[in-house]
Amino acid sequence: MSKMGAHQKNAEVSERASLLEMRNIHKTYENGKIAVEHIFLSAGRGEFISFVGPSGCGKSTIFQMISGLADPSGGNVEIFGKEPKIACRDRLISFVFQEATLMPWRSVAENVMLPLRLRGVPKAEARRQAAETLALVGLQGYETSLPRQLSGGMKMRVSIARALVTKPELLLMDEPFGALDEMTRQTLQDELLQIWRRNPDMTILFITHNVQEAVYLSTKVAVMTPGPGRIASIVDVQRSKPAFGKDFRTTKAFAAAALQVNEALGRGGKS
Amino acid sequence: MEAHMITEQRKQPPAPNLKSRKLFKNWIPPLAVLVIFLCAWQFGLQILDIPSYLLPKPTDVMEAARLNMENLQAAALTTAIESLIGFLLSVVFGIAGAIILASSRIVEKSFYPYVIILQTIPIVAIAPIIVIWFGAGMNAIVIITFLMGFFPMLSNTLIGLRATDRNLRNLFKIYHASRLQTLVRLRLPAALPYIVGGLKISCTLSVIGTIVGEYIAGIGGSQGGLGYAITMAATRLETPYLFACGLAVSLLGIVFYLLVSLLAKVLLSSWHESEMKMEK
Repeated sequence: MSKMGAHQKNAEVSERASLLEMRNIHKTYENGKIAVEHIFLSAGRGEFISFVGPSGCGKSTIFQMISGLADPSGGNVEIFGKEPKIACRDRLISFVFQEATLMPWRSVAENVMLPLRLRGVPKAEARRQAAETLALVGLQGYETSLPRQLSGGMKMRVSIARALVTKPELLLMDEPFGALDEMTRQTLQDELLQIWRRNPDMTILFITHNVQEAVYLSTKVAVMTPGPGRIASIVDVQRSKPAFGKDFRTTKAFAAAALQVNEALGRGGKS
Repeated sequence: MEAHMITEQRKQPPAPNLKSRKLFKNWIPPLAVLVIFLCAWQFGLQILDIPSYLLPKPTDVMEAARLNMENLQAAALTTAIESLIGFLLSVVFGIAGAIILASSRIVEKSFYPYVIILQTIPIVAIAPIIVIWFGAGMNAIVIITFLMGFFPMLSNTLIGLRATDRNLRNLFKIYHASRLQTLVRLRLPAALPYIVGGLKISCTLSVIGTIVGEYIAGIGGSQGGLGYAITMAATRLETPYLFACGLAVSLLGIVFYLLVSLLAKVLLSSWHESEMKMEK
């Protein structure tokens, strides 16, 4: 059953280059307030798209609609041509929250095993895959630790491992490094880039307040403006593959993209 | 003072000297109060020459307990068994009821008000009806005990089931977890600290419930419990024995509470703040 699902998934992947399509999405809250409107976005496989914008511009709302946690009031969202809830059922999507969101009564390994166990993967197999994924985020040897014994950065690593363990097509990250100190944040940024390079087909959508972070990580930056939330512009980050890594911060391309993003933020603010 | 002690402990692993000092600090003051209180009670009554059927001296109580030890032990055992059965019933039905109420908002909204109304009726008012329905003795006593402990278990568990972290719930949704998976893997373990809170309230209430039950329903089976012994002692004006029975009830409650606290430590000490050691 699950094998057939995998075949199906592969067939569809090869058919479509575009992974995520959002067409004219708008979302109105129950109190009549418009959260977001006129959202058009298309993400190809292997893209890294950041969403930058001030609080309350609807970044998280967009993520909720992509992951099927909230329904749009109009327009449609498709992941590989599927509705978000179907895409979730088919295990295409993983989500990393701002907080690590770990179960405090479970060990690190058990937390990472959760998505596998929920879909009925046998315990031993889940444990093996969890150990593999934990090694990927540099946490080998911490399998039996409890979340409270870890630092904030390590907890976030566990959270990322839990998201990666299902080998998702689409990884949604809602301000994952927002609560970390600058040093940890930069380390985790580099680690995230490495993970992404090792899985070149994985698409990552990333929410942040931080323009530098957005430009450093992404191939595209979607700049959002509030009241009501819209995508003001999408900035392409010109980066050649060798420019991954710390050196990218000092390149002209980095500066140019950051300037463009800042301008887009400013322009949106005025209108 | 207290804070000073803690920082001192953090700096260096507790030396045996410090440990004994802490023990001294924790145990000596309450023990001293007890000794002073007992002495005042004993000698005060001796000086005032008050008869023991009005207010027995500690030595009278001990003497009464010694003379009736066999009866006292049998009564305490009966009460303990009745309390335990009633308590376990309230735990099982309280948690099960909370799971049902938490399964949907509509179910909760429709039934919870009546649960509260049931709770506000004093147990003494329902007890005679229960005796009429289930007959005097063990059955009625256990049911009265159950009713005492049921509501704290239900409402605490319900609060716990509702207090699950929103992000974790969303995570389970994204991973397409079934309701049963969400309940077993997330909501129940997350509710555990609240459930333990309910256990601590219910276990002492259940002893009180049993005593009330024995007051009203009398002998359970062949042997009456402590509540029954208290009523008998009162009618016979055996005040020292009455005191001994009261003391036994309170001891029973304390033992129950300590056992539940121990269970709480085992269940929660690894992850929940409420049961962690001070050092962290």
